[in-house]
Amino acid sequence: MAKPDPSSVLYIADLFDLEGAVEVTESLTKKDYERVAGFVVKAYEEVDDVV
Amino acid sequence: MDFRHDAAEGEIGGSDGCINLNEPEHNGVEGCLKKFGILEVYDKVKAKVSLADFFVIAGEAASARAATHPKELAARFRDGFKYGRKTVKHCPWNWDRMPSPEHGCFGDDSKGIKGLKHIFNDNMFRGRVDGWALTAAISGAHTVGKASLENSGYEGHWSTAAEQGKFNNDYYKQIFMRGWVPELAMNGKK
Repeated sequence: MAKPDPSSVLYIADLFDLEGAVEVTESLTKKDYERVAGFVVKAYEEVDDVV
Repeated sequence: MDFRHDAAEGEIGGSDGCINLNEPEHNGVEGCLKKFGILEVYDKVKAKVSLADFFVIAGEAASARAATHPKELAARFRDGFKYGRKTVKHCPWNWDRMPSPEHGCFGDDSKGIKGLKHIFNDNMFRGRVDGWALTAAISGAHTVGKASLENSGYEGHWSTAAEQGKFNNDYYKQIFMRGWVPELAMNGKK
């Protein structure tokens, strides 16, 4: 397979605003985990046609 | 994903939050992230959680929500979660390690298992004696979601209408218990 032209590559991280984002999670409690997962589930459920 | 292996240490990669969205098999990912507001969700937690860890939590959260017993699965995911994945913004070393028409998958799905072997057995699970079992397990993710004409050229769900959207083993039931044949030409695809 031919190596892709760098100009044709779109890495997923480029979609996110990583200003102020940690590169590695330094600590995460179970409560933190639940908070993050809760945000994700809420985001899904706000979309009408989610199955 | 980082599928690199080291001769001495074995697997050195893992989930790093890095994929190239412009590869054909990732068609639709960008649209889904935006549709469900996942970019904004990460904004809320980015000071605490790496993008690489976030993707794993998001996947687990979505799976648990769709499970038969959501609370139980969510608790298992939470209790088993290990943080510490380092976000990798760009991963040019991963080219040619994903399914592609050359490997007989995604774009030329008629070749079936050849692509699964390439991506999972030869890369992700390389060197593992349970590689095929893990490949079969990860293929079960098809039980949720669907194919769309605009993304893959195929259309439809892998499970029954009643089971659609549920994170269960219906995908395997469909394969083993329901009559089916591969469609070699569908919606204009060869």
